[in-house]
Amino acid sequence: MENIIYLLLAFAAGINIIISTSINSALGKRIGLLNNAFIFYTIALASSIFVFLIFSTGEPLRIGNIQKVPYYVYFGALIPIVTLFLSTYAMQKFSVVNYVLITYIAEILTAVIIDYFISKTIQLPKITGAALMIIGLYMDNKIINE
Amino acid sequence: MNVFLVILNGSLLTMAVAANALLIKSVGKFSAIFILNLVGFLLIGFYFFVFKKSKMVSLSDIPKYLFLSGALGIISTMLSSLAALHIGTTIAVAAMLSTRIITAGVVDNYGFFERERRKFLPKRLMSFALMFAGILIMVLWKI
Repeated sequence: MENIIYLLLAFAAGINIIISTSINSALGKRIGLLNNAFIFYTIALASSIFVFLIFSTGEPLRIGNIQKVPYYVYFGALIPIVTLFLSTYAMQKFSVVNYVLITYIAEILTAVIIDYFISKTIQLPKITGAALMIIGLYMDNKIINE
Repeated sequence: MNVFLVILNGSLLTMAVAANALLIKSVGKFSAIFILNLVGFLLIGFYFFVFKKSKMVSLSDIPKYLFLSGALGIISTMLSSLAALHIGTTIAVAAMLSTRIITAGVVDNYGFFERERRKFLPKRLMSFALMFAGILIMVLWKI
């Protein structure tokens, strides 16, 4: 049951991403990409300091009980900066619709690969589900392009 | 070459979700959000002021709601990483993709947030159904 809540969180995240990136690009059109990125992070940092100060009591970082994780986990923080420049560059070279399709397919395939490395087993339902997702994405792309 | 960059971009987006999920496990969710945005802010700030020697533009004429994306961004990061931590990266990413596509369709249909208006094609419901069938298979098996 608890997992259903996390599934709903993932659905909500998807809605939120589109609203956030739409607002972001509207601001970007007015002030340019770099100014926009700087403002985005200024506000994101201010908001995260706010929630950190209020809600993080008892978290491993606050009580000095950080769990060991592989060092590459910390590179996760660099990724949004890399993808910001990468996506801006790639979008100029590609039609938006095809850009979205390739990005989405790469996202889902990478997820399957990551889960494979975590579980070390080939999970057929997951692969079937991912395959249906990819067919759906491709079909959607064809309908939009028609 | 350009196709490769787009693939890399997509892969990195998922890797960030998976890495952030582990970071949450390591330091806690609110602490992770703070660390992620602090690093992002320092990097972009360095690039902005030191590397590009940019100056802040005037922001007086800009509708205030456009500044919300930074705050919404931290919600996305937290929800996506929490979901990936508990239900696995594939289901989390698949679920996010489905609502991203649908929300983008709705936003474009009405031209919200100054997006170019594009009518929603009802035929797309077929492809959405296929995507949800994929998610359902994964969910029934896992959850």
